[in-house]
Amino acid sequence: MNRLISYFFLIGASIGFAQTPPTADPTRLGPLEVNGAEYRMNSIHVRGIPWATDVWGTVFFPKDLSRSPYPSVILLHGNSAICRIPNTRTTAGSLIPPACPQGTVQIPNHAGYDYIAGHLASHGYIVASINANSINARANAISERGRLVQEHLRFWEKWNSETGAEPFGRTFAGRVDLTRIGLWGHSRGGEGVRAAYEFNRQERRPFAIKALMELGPVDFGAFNVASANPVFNVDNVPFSVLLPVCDRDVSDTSGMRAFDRGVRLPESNPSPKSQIYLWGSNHNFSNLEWNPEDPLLRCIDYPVITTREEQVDMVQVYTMGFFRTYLGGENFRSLFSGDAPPPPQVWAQTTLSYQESASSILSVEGFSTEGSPKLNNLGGDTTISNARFIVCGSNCNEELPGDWYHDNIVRAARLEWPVPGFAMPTISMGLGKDGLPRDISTYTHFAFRAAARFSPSNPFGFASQSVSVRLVDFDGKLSIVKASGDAQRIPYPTGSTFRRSVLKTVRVPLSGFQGIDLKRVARAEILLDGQPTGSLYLTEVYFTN
Amino acid sequence: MHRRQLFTLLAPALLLRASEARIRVRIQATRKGKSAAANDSRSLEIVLISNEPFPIRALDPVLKVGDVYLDNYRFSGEHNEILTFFTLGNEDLRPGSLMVLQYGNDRPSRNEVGNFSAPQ
Repeated sequence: MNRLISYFFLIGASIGFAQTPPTADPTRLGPLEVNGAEYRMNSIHVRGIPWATDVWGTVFFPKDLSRSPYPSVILLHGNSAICRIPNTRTTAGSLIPPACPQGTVQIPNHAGYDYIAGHLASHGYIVASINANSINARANAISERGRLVQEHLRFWEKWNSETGAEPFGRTFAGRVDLTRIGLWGHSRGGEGVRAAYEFNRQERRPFAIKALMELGPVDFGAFNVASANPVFNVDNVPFSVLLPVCDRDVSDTSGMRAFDRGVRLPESNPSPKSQIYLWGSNHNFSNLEWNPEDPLLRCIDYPVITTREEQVDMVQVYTMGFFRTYLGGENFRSLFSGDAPPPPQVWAQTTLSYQESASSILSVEGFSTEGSPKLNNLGGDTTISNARFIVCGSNCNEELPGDWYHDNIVRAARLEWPVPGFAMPTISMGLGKDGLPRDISTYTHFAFRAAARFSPSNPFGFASQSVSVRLVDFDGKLSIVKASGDAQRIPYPTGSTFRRSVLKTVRVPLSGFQGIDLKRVARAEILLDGQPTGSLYLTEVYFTN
Repeated sequence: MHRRQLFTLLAPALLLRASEARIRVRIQATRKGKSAAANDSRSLEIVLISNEPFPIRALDPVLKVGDVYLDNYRFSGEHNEILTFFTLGNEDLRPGSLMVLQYGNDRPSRNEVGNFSAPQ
């Protein structure tokens, strides 16, 4: 009977964040005056790198270090040209990296993030941006990037020691909080810091890496056309990845795979994971030393961000918000969870994924159990009615110019409607074996991930689909919440040269479900009632806090 | 002296560049010391010479020769307009195979640069 409810008669609470004030701006200059310095040791042997390597970086830090120790952050750029004609942006060929031909100079690729380093330092952080020219312009070399980060950490340990070390003497002796280290990497630097995190935890005496963020990273370990490195993961550490929608370099936005794996790995140190898919943004703008990768700057369907300053402002919001939250203990979490709008400088649309640790959620359905799609993670039954569907994984992709680049670990139900009769498409999940109820009152949200397909079934638009969620308690009482707020709607796929279906997290506060007993909920149901026709990928259904 | 194969063709727009790039291909036996990985006397250098710089991107350039992927490469030239792929010598490179240059799995960057022919 419920399935026959007309779209037009379905009523329920509508949850959005229309009245929620925006997240505070984390980018405002902090109270501390900032100093900068450079360090450089040329052509030294770095453990794990089979060629001589420069250890070169700039560091920004509070001028007055008397209130230290301060947490430390290392920034790592990606693969780019090494040499250029002085005082120009004209790149020149390199010899054996990083040597440059006569009349050219090395590009200070690491200086492209001063806008992050300086601002973070003003809030009480010691931020080193490191140069990887010695590793640039070589095939893969992800592991070598990770090894370079480790080497810098070893130098910072020396500089932080009681005796200090050259070139800083005792400037940083005891001033760096090496129990709170954050890593941030852009492009190949993204997977590079992930490699550093992985190598570090294999060490007998690892550094305390407490937060990891990536911007437009590659994921050569999981997928590369030719040579590959090991797969590097982000379990047991707070993690965020920012993906530029109009990335024409890492055109598959493969960083999403790091998130896909990160949210599925069990953790002894439960740590949140987030993914920000930033519309209109491109790959290169975020490094001030890089030329735009595409002079034509175009995106599909959406206004491209045409000025570097605008994009940098947005990157700064998420980067500073991340480290101030997960290293500094402040609270900008809603930037990542989507529970509140971002501050106004983030004017571009975002598609967010957010999940608390796999070890702290109640996972209902991921379409990956042996009995899937009929038996879910809780041992209850799952039924999909009034929609055509298949359960897919690596084969989710089907037709160009739409594309699916999620990690092969992800399995999803690919749904399409209407079916004859136009009854309500519904995914209904029992929360216990044999229809037994479950206490979900200790959780605050119901959540799932979904993406629109590139399909004529989907109406075009920036927010083309939405759903409702229905909870049914053991006495048969039900409550419906429409998940149609700005942060909950599921956009039509977009991209730079082709359209990617990128899963987003839809979070529905349980406070909206009235008149039922949350201690004895028998079923959770997702009603595809936003549009009379449509096609979605749906997966990772869970309760969370 | 190795005999060299030399041909020129018009390639479609090179990945990120708006204009058309002309790419010449030269295939030659690997010169001693040019590639540490090449320890087989049959190893080759496939040299791509463009009238525009090859961009250095996050994704690696890969040369597909028939079904064989080559990704051991080096940029050179005054503005990185030379891109050389090194073979190990044990690959099954079949004469006549189409050679395609692409950055990672970025399909829009695909460039057909000619057909493979081993140096005589």
